[in-house]
Amino acid sequence: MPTVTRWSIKTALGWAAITVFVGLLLTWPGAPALPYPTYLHLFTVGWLTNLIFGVAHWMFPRASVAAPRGDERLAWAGWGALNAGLILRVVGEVLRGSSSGAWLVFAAALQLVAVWIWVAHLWPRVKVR
Amino acid sequence: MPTLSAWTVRAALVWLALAALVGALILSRDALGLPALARLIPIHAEMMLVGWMMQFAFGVAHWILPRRAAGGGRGALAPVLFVVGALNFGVILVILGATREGRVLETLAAVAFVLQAIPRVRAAGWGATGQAGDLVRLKRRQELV
Repeated sequence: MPTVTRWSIKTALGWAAITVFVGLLLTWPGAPALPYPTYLHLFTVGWLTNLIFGVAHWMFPRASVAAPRGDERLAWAGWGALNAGLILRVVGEVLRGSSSGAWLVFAAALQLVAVWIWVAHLWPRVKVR
Repeated sequence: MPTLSAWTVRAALVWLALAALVGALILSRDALGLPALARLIPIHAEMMLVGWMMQFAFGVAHWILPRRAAGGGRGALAPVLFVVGALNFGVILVILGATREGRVLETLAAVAFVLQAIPRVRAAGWGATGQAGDLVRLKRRQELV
């Protein structure tokens, strides 16, 4: 299993644990509550998307003999941007103040770039063999 | 990866790229001064959940599930072609506002996929039986490696 896959899966597992804890907090009287969409994105971006990208990077058909998994720097960039973007989103949603808009724009840009990087990275490996 | 899976996964990746763009716009709506972008949330969810995740799962499942018994391979092509067409057309219809019609197509696609995939969800290959023969095959595989 390549290193970036291991980091992606470990990160996904970490987000999964955080997500269910946040879900529990949402039911707790008086606990600081995140907006429900943030909880959903912890689940779908943090857990599911990290897991899918990590496993796809590992299991998809090889790109070439010389570079079986393509340019791994792209995978690392996608992993970093995706998780940094998700963290910034959570911070922005917690702040919910006048400065939260900038945090959220930065979070949105990071996650968008991350997804496009992963799509560009995986695309050449989606092939018939 | 079979041709149909390749096209299905590619379509799923396209939906993902588009849905991420819509999601980024929604998340930035206040800073952009466009609060009306919140109305795109159901479309964003449809693209992500059906166009990306469900379609990706179908494409990969068609590729990696055990093949049918008695040399049946991955089964007939037509039902899976219908699944892919109906799923994508369904998402497009939902985006265009024909929600009920789109959901009908998505439902038919999901039911068709389930029906054609169930025979392939079976014990096959290494580890199928958990009996001694499996372990012998594992040992042979390791020797080959």
